[in-house]
Amino acid sequence: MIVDKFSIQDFKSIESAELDLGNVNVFIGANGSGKSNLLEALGVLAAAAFGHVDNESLLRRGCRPGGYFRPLLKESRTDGLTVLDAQAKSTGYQVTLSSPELGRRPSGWEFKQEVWKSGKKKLHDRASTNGSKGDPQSGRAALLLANISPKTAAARFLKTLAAYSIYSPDTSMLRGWTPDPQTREPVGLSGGRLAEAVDELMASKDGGVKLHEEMHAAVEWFEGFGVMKIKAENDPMPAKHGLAFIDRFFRVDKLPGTDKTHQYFLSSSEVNEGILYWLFLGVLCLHPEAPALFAIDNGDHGLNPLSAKRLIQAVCGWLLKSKRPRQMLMTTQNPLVLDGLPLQDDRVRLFTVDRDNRGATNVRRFLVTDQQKEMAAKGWTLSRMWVNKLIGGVPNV
Amino acid sequence: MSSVLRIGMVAEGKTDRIVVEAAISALLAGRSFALKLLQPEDPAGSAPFASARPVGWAGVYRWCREAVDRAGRLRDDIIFAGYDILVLHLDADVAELDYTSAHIHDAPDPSDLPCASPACPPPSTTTDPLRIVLLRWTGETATPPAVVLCTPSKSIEAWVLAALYPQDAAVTSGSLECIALPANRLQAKPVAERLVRSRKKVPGRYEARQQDMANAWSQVRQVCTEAERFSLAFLNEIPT
Repeated sequence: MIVDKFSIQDFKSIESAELDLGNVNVFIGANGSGKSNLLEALGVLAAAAFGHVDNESLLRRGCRPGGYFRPLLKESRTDGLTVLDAQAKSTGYQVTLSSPELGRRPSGWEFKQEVWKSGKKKLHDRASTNGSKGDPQSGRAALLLANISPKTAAARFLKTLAAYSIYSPDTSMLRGWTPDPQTREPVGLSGGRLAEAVDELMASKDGGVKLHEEMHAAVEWFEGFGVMKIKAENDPMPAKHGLAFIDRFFRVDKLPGTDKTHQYFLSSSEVNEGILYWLFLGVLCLHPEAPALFAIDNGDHGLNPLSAKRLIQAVCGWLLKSKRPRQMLMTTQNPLVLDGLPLQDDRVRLFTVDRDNRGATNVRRFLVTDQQKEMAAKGWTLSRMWVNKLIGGVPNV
Repeated sequence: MSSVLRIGMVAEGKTDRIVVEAAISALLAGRSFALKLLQPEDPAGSAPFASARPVGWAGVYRWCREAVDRAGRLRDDIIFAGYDILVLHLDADVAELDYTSAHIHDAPDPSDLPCASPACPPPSTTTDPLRIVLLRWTGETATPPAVVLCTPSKSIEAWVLAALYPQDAAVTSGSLECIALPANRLQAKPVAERLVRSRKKVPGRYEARQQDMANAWSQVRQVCTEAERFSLAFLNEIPT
């Protein structure tokens, strides 16, 4: 089950937006156009679905901390509440929230309205029942989840929403040099715990094989990878995991006096950062415990443009072929990522994000036309159209 | 998903966008729009592989020829997948020049410039043939749907003068559109408010006065016939 439609009213630079989402959703736009705000709006809804929206729950979902949440545009409403609405085929969840004014304690957002539906039936309607009673900072749908079979579409949808997070990989954390402040299983929001996640993926039914095959086909020097587990004798702590990569150009030395050989390898500290981004996205797409719904904010900044194109092709393949429904929202500034998107498949969608003359974020789905296909036949790739400012989602430079 | 009007603009320079954006803001009276400057792009210093298109009217020419290369003629170009309206800007003083002055050697009709008429007013004796030249660059003989030509006479600074300095002698003369180099008159204003300094247009100063230009757009239309022509054409192309 995926979010088919996501609507936002009055959140940061977004006054009003309605997104018809597919399984893979890529957002392009100038810096500051509001792409990350779109991802964060879903983060706020996720926190609401979990039952509490405050700085801590937003940080946990990868939203940037603090700041103003209501639009501060010159002509925006000053009394506006944030309205967020996610709809799936047979269920939906909508909240109207009041964000805290800066400096006010406690920092929790207040629920003004909360509607959770299963088909046409309202499982919960805070506005029409006892909305004035109880803690205004506590969502009730999350509590009601305990009374409903987890197999129902509505329950699965709410749980999927609540587990949503925005991942933003960081090279230092992918290498294991810096602790990930938002670590979790299978992988932290910035890439912490990558080695452990890869180890688990290798042990899963076929995820490790898929990842290995794609990387082998896409990375010229790549021969293979493995996970080392280091544990001192009598150490009560769990084994430390480390990644090891084999470069196919490296020599293999025979150990003197034995029949054994020595394979040289690169650790995650030494290996080029691009390969770590491959693993990170591979884990998010293939790991059996990876969230069904997630976002990646600029997940390709460590990659060569052509490698990023190859990676997004792999990501689309992994997510679209997944046995369980998977959904990803992703921002990118890399033009070649666009060329890797199989936009002929309606489950893969591209959105341009621009700010209008008043500064409000404006989102538009890019639909492939016959004219664009003709252009493509003449050698006009989508990336070329984008950087030539032919499809929007560009800065005024 | 969005009703924001998407406008692309091909202009001689960056400050031209600011003036046209002010005009459009007044014309749309509150409706949201996003205006993207398709040309010129930021010059990248001396980088050898920077944009192939120069700034100025030669850049407008080059952008138009690229559209023809893509689609044969502008109306068939893919640009309209990304934008609802395309504004093509060319100052009327270009009509006094020839192609070789801009190192253009592949014009569809090398003899169509210069095309300026000494008779002014009305400025249309020059802007009418110039608009035909501009359309010829795009492979067109008539203005295509969703395209709005913007041909201020002699340059867009006449519109700025009319908006910000309605008491300027050039504005009150009744022949503002026939005065050469109206930017020089902006340069002669008090230092603190100069939009043009040392013959350079200062984008920040233009931006700071953009709302003033929008507020005064109706008086610009009264004084400048090309501003009126642009306004009517633009309003006519707004999708319902």
